[in-house]
Amino acid sequence: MIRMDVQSTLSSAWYIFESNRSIFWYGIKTTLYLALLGTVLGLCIGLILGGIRAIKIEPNDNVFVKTIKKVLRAFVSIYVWFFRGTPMMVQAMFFYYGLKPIIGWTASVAGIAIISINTGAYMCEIVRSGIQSVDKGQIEGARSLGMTNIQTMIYIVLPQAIRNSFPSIGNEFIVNIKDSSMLNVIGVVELFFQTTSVAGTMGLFTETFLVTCVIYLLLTSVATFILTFVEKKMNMPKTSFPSSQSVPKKAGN
Amino acid sequence: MGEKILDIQHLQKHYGSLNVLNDIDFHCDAGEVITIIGSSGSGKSTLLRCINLLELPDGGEIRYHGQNILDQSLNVNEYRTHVGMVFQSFNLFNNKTVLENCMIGQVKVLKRNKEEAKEIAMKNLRKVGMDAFANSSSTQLSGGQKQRVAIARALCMDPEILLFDEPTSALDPEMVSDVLDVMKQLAQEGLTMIVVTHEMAFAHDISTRVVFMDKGVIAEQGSAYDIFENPQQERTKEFLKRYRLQSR
Repeated sequence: MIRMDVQSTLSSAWYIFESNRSIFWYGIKTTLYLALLGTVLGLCIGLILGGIRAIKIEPNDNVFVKTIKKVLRAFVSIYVWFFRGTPMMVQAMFFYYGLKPIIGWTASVAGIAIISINTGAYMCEIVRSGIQSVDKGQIEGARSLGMTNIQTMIYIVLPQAIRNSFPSIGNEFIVNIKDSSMLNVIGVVELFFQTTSVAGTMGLFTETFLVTCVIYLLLTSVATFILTFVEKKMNMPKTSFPSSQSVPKKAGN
Repeated sequence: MGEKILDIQHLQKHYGSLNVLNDIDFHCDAGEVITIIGSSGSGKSTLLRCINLLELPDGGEIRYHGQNILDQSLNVNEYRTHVGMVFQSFNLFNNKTVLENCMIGQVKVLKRNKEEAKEIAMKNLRKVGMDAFANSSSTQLSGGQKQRVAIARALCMDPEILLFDEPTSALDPEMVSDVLDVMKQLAQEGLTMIVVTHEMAFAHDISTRVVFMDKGVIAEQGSAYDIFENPQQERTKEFLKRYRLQSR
């Protein structure tokens, strides 16, 4: 009896997938688009916010610089506090409808903005801990060459911080594949949104969502596989050791 | 000796209640090779780091060609290009190749174009015997190799003075001589150098002046002969005895 049920569920799920392929495909594309763009833009926001968080107030700063630094830091703290402390679904409703009369944005633009801003709050913490993981000597080396604070950040610290925190950054992408489903509340036509409409027309909720489960699993598994691969590549030495000269040349000759 | 490059007066540095540098007077002329010796915690590294402004002194003056570098209006980054620094822990940029390590300062700070920067970088890498490793990642090198690249990186900025902060202390014994050979060569070429070191034989051989620091003050200074063969102060003798160099 149970076996019959499983079999019929599976076969109707396959039928639902087959007959609504283009609808699912549209949803998948939007979901990936949201996850990818949201992660990249979120990383950009996180780099700026994390950079601000890492700025230290120096004893020899004048009052003006000190005030600016304090205001920036307060802004970042409030940003992170708010966006990590409220559900993205609520943020989506609040900002989409709140700002719609003013800037008249579409649901998809709002969706990208909200997922990016939300991811930015998490990325800020990831970038900050990445920056802290960079050896202090790297900064001293750069400063001793006369590089400015900002040059040191851009060319020396951030590239290493991103590399060190790459696993966490990749994890945000996986999270975004799944969490972008929350944006259906403002009418972004992503995978979850498409699933509900298919389920509605077919009248088969369990079977339709089984299809969607499998699709999400595939997306996250493939993404994990790719990220692990890139991670391994990143830890590889940039170029091979010179083999033409295995014994270091004596200095000064 | 040449023109006075650095003139330090009444330099003070303290961490909390601990006086690391206590009223230091010190100067450095063009062409001098000054070694600073002393036991750990005597303030030698702090003095060097103050000269490069990696540590901010709490009092006194550091004059560079007569201009006080502790003046708020001074462009610290411009000043640092004239005063190179080689660290105990090398501090090569881990995200860059050997060649990029030597080029980035020239391109971003001195605004040299890439071809010129590359040429100068290769010239200095050849000088330290590391040109064959130009395209290696800096993380693949041994300690001695890293330190030689770090010296090349500092030389690329055409510094007026090069500061060495215990450049061989983090090296395996067999690597030490490679680095010291490079430094000897630079000294012979007339580069002005201030070297904090525990390598007494090296200090004896290359110094035009030896400075002995103890408990945050300059206890004694003079020629290598004065300090190593004929020290006046009891604490200098005491310190050198531990290195068994008086018998030389």
